[in-house]
Amino acid sequence: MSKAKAKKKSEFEPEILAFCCNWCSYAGADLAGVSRFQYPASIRILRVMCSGRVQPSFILDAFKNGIDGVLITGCHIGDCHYITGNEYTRERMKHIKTLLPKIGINPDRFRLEWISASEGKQFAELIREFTENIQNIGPSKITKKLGKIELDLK
Amino acid sequence: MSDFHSSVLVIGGGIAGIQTSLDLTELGFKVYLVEKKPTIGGTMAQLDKTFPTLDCSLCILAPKMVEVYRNPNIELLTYSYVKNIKGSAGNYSIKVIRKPRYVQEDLCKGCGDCATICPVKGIPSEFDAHLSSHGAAHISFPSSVPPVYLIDENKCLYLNHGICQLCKSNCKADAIDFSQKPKEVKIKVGAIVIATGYEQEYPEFYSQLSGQNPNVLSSMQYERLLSANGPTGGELLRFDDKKHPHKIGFLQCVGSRDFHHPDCKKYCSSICCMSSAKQAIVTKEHSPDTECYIFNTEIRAKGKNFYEFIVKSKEEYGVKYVNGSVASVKEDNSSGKLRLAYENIDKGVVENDEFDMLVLASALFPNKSYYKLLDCLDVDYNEFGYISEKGLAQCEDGFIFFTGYSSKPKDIPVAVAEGSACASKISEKLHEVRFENIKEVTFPPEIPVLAEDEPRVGVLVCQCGINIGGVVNTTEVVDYIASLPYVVHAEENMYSCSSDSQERIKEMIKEYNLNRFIVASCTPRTHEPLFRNTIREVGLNPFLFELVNIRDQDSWVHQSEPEKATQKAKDLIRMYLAKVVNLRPLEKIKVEVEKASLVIGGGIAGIISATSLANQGFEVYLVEKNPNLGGNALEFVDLFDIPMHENDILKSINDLKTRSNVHILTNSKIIDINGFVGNYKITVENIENPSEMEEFKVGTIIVSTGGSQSKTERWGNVLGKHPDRVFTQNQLEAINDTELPGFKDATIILCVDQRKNEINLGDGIKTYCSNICCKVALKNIEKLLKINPEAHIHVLYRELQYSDLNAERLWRDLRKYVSFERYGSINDIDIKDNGERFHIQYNNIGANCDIEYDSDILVLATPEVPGEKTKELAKMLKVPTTKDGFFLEAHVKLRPIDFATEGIFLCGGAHWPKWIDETITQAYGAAGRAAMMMVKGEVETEGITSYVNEEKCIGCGVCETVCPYQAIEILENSKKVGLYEIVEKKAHVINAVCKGCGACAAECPVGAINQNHFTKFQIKKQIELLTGIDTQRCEVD
Ligand code: FES
Repeated sequence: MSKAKAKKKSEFEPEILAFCCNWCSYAGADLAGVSRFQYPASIRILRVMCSGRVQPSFILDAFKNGIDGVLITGCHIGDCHYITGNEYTRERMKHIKTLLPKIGINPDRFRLEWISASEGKQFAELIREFTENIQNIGPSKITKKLGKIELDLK
Repeated sequence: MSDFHSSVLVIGGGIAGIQTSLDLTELGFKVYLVEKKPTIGGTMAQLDKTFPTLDCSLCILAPKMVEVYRNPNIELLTYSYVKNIKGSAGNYSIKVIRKPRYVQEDLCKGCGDCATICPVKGIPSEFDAHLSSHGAAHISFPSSVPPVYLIDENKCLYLNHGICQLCKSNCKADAIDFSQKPKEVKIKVGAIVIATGYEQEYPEFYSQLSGQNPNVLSSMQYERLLSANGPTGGELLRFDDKKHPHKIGFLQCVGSRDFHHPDCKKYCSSICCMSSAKQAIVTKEHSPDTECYIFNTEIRAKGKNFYEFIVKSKEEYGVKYVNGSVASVKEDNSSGKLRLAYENIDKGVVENDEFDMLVLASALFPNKSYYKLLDCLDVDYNEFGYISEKGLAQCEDGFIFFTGYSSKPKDIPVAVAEGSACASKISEKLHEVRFENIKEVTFPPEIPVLAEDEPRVGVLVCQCGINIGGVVNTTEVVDYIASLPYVVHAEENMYSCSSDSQERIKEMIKEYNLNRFIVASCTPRTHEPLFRNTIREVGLNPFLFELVNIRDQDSWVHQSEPEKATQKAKDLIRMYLAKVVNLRPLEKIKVEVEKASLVIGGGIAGIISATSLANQGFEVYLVEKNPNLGGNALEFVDLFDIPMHENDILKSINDLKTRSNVHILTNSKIIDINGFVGNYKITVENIENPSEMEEFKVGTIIVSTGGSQSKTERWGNVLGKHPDRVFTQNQLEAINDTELPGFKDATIILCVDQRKNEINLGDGIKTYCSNICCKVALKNIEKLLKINPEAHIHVLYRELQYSDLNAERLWRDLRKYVSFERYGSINDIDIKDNGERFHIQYNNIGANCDIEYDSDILVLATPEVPGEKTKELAKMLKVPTTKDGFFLEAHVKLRPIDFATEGIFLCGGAHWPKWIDETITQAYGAAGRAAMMMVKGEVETEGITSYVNEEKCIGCGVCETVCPYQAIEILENSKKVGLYEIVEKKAHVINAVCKGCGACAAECPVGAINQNHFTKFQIKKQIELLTGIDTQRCEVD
């Protein structure tokens, strides 16, 4: 990785993982692009079909690897392409918020937001704001772990 | 074999046309979809939210637009119009004119480089209802379908003055073509659907209300203003001083419901009350301090749970409703405010008030091209400007159908159901020539890719002209990616979506013997199917592919940070590489579908559905609990506004009885339903003779169990004494004229025990409006007047729901003979026993005083309720119901007649109380939707489904509860453990039903369920690779 790992808060460039559901929030992120709304290059989007796919262990994994922030975005409640998927996400993530401090992670490093396909601007704003928050909190205390490309042989 | 053409022309690409087209292709017909605008999507694409759920309009519409675009059996002719129609039923020759875009559709990549450089500015945007502007080279809106730009020929410098051509030199795809001329296309079709939608005037048209004030908007303009992709990015601003408006007035019925003014429409546009309530709510959500006033003649909330939405706007959001009309609007130059003078009917006074912004819910009407079409078809229109009933019947005989706003004013769910209904009717007419023009694509046999085969990945990085290449250093990205494990070959190119690139991808796969592929370019939402198709064409399983988005979510959003954008592209591709090496080929399994349907309920809805399915060649089982078919409709003898009478219904019933493919089971009750789409096993029992059982198999189910009218406890001790002189509306309709006691005064009380609001409170009062009572009252008035023309009839009402054209007409007529009297709360109506007569006392709103009189008979509009066995049936079908006990459809807006569970459909009063015309529409629609599943005799499953690891599964059933599609069942297996026989529970995914959302996988407490293509391992690997790659730890040779 060629990225400079400056320790100073203001120069710190966080690494954020964002889960986006295919139907609304990923489309919202696309619209931000189509409309050329600029936002910090801090996030890496991982597309899932529905926010309902995101299980708590994914978030813990991300933090374990030293990722500075995790964002989950889905359709607004009532708009989920799979009817109720995001309602389960909401329930699940309530627990995550309370769990994080117990394992020494600032719960503000994690966020769950609803973004519709027409909310390109809101998406860009969300990334801007979340990035700033993470910058204020500072880099993750967990040392970054590099990944290994391997095959699921099971 | 008939010599009908197997293609259909659909005119109009709004939601009604889209739904019709999609359904028609599923039913085996080729569709030519002609749209006069450059994009499909119609009005719905312009909406911010939809009522009553406040769904984001584009979110639910855009997937359908893309579906149309990708459908190989829909030929999309946008920016085109129908010039003429010749021929007859089954055989039409159509001339379509394609207007020049000056941009070649097949070459344009939708990148927007032409628009960026175009020096012409300031052309008002039609999509933004003139609130924003664009250049000569432009696209209607970012998600336009097709995603192709066009050049405004009236404004283009080159086309008008021979200079410029900047766009031509800036277009890397060479798509600009100034030599284009209007092109004539000739097509042959068997049937035609007209779905031309509606229009609305801009505020200037109503100059007495708007002056030239920029803060007076039409309701569509206001919709754009609220929209996140609108002119202000969803910020609520006044147009002159750019300040937030603090007080907004919504003016209803502007330019409509007026018989006297020549510029006014005579009818009610039917959707504005709901749309204004929605806009007021959204406004309040944007800024809770903004005051919203809705000035209305009366609120018409006709639809499922619409009335509750109005109440919610008042009670939860504080939206104010003023009953009265606006007399004048004056601008105050110093304050910039708009001063209204209006009549407050409730108070009986004229009042004044000031507003920062006004929104005109002005009349909606068919556009000009609609009248050209009517002329061309030689049919006439009625006094309201819509096709006449005679014309409609004449057209249907000629296989020409009208849907959406083009037949009469209606909202989206009705238009969608009607779209499906048109498709079903066409399928009845043309079913013999089904599939004749349908393209079935064939592919070479698939190359087997086994789990133990070493992944060999190819990567193509797209420059997208300069859209990606101008920011991201694609060469650097390619070099980096090529160095990663399992990547056999990586290269970059100009446009990976172009047809020559598809050839290049195929070459790469063959040359390097690749078994996985990554394209890094734009969004998978639009382009994944294209690439999946390409790799399938050389024999690779389409699921061995990933599209990494480095444009919309990278180069376009980090335009001034090329280094960071380049790094991000590398990171993203690396993450997805970790997933791709673990992808497995997936199969879309075909599940056989029984070509038979069960129709539950033999009322008018069931009769129509059954007939339509039988006409399309399917086996039908029609189950009815009563001894006879016909249901409520038979009792409502004259159905004044639809061309169907008692005899027609009886004729349809007799006709059904003679069909060899229709099995009518009256006196029957369903006792068991087992299975899933395509394969249901049904057990039916004879009610009179329970030992008589019948079992049969069907592929689909239609629920048409209807509803009935409830009784009231109100005024119990008075009414109870004279049951012979008190009727519900339905009872009065059903009773013979001679059986009715003599009367001089009769009273119809509307809204009894329904439409709960701030003054109509009480436990027994339903929150909803039954929607049909006001119209039934009209028929009852006619009946009473027929029996005694001298009678004095009082109609005590709260708000009259006559948004239908014919009801409006009849009501205006009857007002001359009947007194319509408005009351506030049902709790304030007092009825006393006066011996021979009832003594009635209530507070009249218009007169603002108490009124007392005597009446001989009483007719009560009590709530319509679902059939009594609805709950039981819902359980058997495993489908949900609403709080009021009606069946709950898959989506209130866009899937009004589907259940979320595939293979089960819904129509008529079981869905919601509705007038018979809408019931008929839904019944045809449900038949069409059911037929879609059965025509091919098989359905294809989603490739991306969930699967269970039985060893890990503990049979807890959590997955079964979270699955919204009933795609998981818990099976019980008995198993021998030593001496004991134990029953083990295991979850099982029904592939045919699973939609692949993955919620079960996330919820499983023991990790026993996984989702194909989004497995836990794959996602974890993606996460792990975000921070970087440990090259030492994964050496491969
Ligand atoms: S599809 Fe977006 S949250 Fe379910």
